[in-house]
Amino acid sequence: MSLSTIRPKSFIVIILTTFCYGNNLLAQKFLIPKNVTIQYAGSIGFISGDFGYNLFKKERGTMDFGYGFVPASKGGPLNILNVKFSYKPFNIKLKEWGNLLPVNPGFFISYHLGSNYHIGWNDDQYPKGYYWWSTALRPNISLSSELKIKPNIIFTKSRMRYISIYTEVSTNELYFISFVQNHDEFPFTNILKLGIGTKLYF
Amino acid sequence: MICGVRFLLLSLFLLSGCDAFEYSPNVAFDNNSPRDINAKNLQKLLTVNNDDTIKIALTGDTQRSYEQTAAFVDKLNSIPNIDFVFLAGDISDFGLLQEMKWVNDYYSKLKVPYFGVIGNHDRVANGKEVFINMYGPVNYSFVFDGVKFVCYDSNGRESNFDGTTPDIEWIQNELKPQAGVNNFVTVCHVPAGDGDFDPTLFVRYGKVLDTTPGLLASLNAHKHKSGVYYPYGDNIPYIITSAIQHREFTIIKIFNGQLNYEFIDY
Repeated sequence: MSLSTIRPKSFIVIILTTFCYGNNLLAQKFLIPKNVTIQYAGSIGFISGDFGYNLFKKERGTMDFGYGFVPASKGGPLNILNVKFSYKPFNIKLKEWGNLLPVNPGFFISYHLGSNYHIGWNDDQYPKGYYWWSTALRPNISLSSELKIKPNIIFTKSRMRYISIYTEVSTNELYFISFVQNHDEFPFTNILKLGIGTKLYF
Repeated sequence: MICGVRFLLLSLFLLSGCDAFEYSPNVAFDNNSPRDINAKNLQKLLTVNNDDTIKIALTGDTQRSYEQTAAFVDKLNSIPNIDFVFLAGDISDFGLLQEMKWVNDYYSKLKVPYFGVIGNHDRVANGKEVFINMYGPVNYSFVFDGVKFVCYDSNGRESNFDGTTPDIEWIQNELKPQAGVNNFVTVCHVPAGDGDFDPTLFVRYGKVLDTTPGLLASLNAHKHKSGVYYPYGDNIPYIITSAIQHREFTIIKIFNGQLNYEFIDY
């Protein structure tokens, strides 16, 4: 079998096999996601799914990567990739059953796929500097609250370490500029957007 | 713990009422976005008893200028006998639904109906779909008091000067003689002769307007500087209103087949 006959799906199977049965335990440990997320709204899709990794000591940060979509019936179709970082400075232990992470600042970048969205601007169409922002890339700042529950209080043999629910407030740079330029007229809450989600930690 | 729960509840409470669950800044519409603003406002306009003078406020370029937009609404509501308002493009700065909703929140507080016209900034990203969903078709017309107002997309650069924008055939058809119409006025964002107007259409466009009997003027915005131009050297004035951003708009009066204008600072 020549390389060109390998279909993308086979590739994924080969990579996953190498992953799971390979002898490079360090790489295996490093690459396997430590959490998965499903989120509603929050400017990265009607529904989005992410996989993520822990950062820093005591899991004080997470880095997630994912994809979300908006169906035509909800104002799409839109396909959106995202990268999210969240810093979790406070971790309050709730007896035996969970943890509360009350205030988690973060940022995320969304990338809209499709012909209407571009990282820069077409030089043939626009003079230099005609527009200055990117239509495809949207940087956002966020603040979330998360409640992590240990599933083993119900399921004794669960491999899951935590199941969590969270709410995330965010805004993007274009909304933020709109607020700064009009702050006398414009309540800050105008530019805040909300997402809610659930995260499974392994 | 209590602090966290409070934060969570407070943020949910504060945001649940005001479109906070955003799926993407680029959605074409959401559960609360208005629909068919132009058609609904035309219904309102046609129920008003006309006098013999049409008095219009020509505005444009509200883009990212909500303080100035709010001040304009207060100012205009203090002026008597206005029939309606044109918002001649660049309603938004980034072509986002949220921006057009914010601007409409202010313009919908006008005591008189208003009509949105698409600008080049409104065509960025998913902006055209947002405009169509909120305001209606990008090319439209209506007759008020014997004058036909023909409104269209003239943002040629956004179509990469491909000869489609403005749609000359559509305009030509709209400017045909019609029962009950004595005069015509065209309304679009980018004026003829501007660097963002399709140069391949410049000559044909001017000819269509110039050869329309009873055409009084073309009303435009985009330049952020008020002025009256005669780009073809004919008798058709191209009246440019300055930006709401600069706290300026234009009053247009049409009486007995005559049109005059006044630039207003506020």
